Amino acid sequence: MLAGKNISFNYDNNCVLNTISFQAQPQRITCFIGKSGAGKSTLLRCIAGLEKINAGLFLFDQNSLAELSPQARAQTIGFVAQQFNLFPHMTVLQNCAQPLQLVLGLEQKQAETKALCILASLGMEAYANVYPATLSGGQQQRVAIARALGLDPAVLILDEPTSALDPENTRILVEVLQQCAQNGKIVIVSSQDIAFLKLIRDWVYLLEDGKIVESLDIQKDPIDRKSCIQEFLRL
Amino acid sequence: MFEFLYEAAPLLMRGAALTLYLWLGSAILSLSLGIVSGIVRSKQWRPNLLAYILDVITFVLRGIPFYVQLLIAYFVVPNLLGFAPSAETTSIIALGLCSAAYTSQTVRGCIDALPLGQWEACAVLGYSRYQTLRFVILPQAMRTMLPTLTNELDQLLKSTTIISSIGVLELTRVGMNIIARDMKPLPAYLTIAAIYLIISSLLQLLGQTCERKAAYVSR
Repeated sequence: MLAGKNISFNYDNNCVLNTISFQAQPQRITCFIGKSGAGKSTLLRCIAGLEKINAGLFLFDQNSLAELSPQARAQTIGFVAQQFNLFPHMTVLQNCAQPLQLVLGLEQKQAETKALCILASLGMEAYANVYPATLSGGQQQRVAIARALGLDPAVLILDEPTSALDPENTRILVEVLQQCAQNGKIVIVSSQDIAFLKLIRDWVYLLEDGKIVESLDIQKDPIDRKSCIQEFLRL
Repeated sequence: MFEFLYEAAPLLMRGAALTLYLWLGSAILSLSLGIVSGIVRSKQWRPNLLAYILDVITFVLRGIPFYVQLLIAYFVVPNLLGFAPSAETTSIIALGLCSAAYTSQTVRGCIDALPLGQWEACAVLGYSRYQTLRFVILPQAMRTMLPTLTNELDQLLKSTTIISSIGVLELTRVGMNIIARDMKPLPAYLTIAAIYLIISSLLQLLGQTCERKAAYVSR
């Protein structure tokens, strides 16, 4: 389980996250929803270690993430940014295989075999030898997910994953994320895409002005018409 | 003209060889110091004390004409050091340092122009700083810095002519000596110009080849 305890983050004296606590379970997709500027992306960046929190701590299976080395953290948390951030000078296969060589220390052949296997599981093996710039947004995203999954992280985080996707690619993404969750991973996403969130229908946290104002387990909790989350998602 | 070439060719070739030696020495110095300095001064490595020191050095080297730097290096620095390196060594160091300041700016600018997301992708994948630079940042930055670096190395070749002012017998100085001896400026200047043009063309050809090798599909 991944948990955040009293997380606070300030940016230039501006409080972006205010004593946030949450938990994300394996085999579940945890969604952080809210309007633009609510702090969703910042929270995910903090979990991924891209921002230094001012207070609080993140716990993974009762161990603080802050104590992990960058390599160990990368093998615990996989992060897919909104812009995917693929390496444009490498082919799809190189994008996925290189981290396996550099971080896990695999031989090139082993790394490429493993990377191809993951690309195949996401339906991207046919594009192994092309450059990312020639792919569509949805395909680039699947490559970014494949790259993150290569290190076999226990947690997979996606920031605004549907911002560049059409409905068909959104549906494919939901299937991929549900598959990851079924494989025992903790999946965390931030989104304000109602159609996507309705397809996910899992654990949801609503953020407003850097605070979690409500959480809801859509699979289990009873429908409450007064719920802000249900109002947000128009359930 | 052919008679002139026949008589002057050995001297001109010796001058051209020294010009190439001065150019190669200062180019190695310029690229090695400039690339390291550009990396240290890039946004992602700041703040660090070395970057601020290099900022000042770069500012000074870019602010003073190379001719003045050469005169200081040749006439003033030996007095401060207590020993005098050869004119060739002094020229290579002065030219290399001056050019390194411009190379440093080019490298820093091209690294800073890359999206922050590339650094972040490496961080979340667990890459070390060296791995990030070696495998992700420099290969991408190299594509944009190559034309400017080729330009800088070409400019460096032209700047070797200034070294003739401290008596180093590089190509231009050799040509001027031949003119003083034979009083035939036209064939001498034309020959010197042609030699510079040939070396410069080869350099630009090399630059274009490197650019083609560094190219990748992008949008």
